[in-house]
Amino acid sequence: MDARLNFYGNTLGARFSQQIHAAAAVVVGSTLPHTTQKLVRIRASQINGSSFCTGIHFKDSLRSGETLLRLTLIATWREASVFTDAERLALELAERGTRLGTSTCGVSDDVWAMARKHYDEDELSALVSQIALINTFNRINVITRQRAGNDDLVTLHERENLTAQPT
Amino acid sequence: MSARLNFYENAVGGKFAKHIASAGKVVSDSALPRATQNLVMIRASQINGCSYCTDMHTKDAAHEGETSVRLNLVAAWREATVFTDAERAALELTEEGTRIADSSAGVSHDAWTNASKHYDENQLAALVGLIALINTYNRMNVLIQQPAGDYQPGQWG
Repeated sequence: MDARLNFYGNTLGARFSQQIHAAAAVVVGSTLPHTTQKLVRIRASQINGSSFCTGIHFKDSLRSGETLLRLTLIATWREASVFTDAERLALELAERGTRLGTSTCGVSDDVWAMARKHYDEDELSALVSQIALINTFNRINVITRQRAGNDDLVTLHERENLTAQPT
Repeated sequence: MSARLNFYENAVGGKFAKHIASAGKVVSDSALPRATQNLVMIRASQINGCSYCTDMHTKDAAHEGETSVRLNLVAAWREATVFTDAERAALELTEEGTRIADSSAGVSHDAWTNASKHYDENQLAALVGLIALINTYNRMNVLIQQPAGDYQPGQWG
């Protein structure tokens, strides 16, 4: 089962990838908590069915000290008691911002107002960026059927140096 | 009506948007026909309900010579006779590549095979990048409720 297209090995794909990784670095360098960034990445990747992204970000989170319990409950966070109010809002925004074509567009005024209470303008900009960007990566990997076996995740991910960030 | 967040003027949002724009340039400079790029961006933006992007890319397409008949039929291209087979393949890939949420199937074998018949590897990479990227812009603008209607072709240089 090979990827349909070697996107990252293609010259255009590699140059494109370089730019979106630069965009990712902006999010990583922001004041939005890294734990929250990772929750958002995982939730969106689950919704979009991206094996590669779900695998990478799950491994990243484990490596950074996230608990298995919280990781397990991301997919069903609404009744879970293990996320902070701020994290729950980030997850809500992630879901709404991901499911654009299939549900009420975007985020309601009420939810946005609550998000404003927990996140300042820089953090909210980073959150919007993160939600948009994980959807970028998800699509590249879903459309090209990027493999997500253990070796694939370690090799490509570490080569791409996606987690050049403090834990 | 104004955006609910000053995203593009914000230090984080502005820097982020700059890199997204650079990624966009990689695609727009590619061998994927410009007319096709516009159709892809319009279709995805319609599906995602992004007013700003729909306005911008429809106006850009018209400005670059796209006909009103074809622009009117992008939203309902399947029974339309006004698109080439290559464009239809790109539109199908766009729809499937946009609607991946909660879909167990991802992008179908047929859609991919059909696209591969019409586009070489570099054009396919551009198509994948473009579909991914317009979905990025759609989300930025929908989340902040960026108002739409005032766009003028060439305003972003």
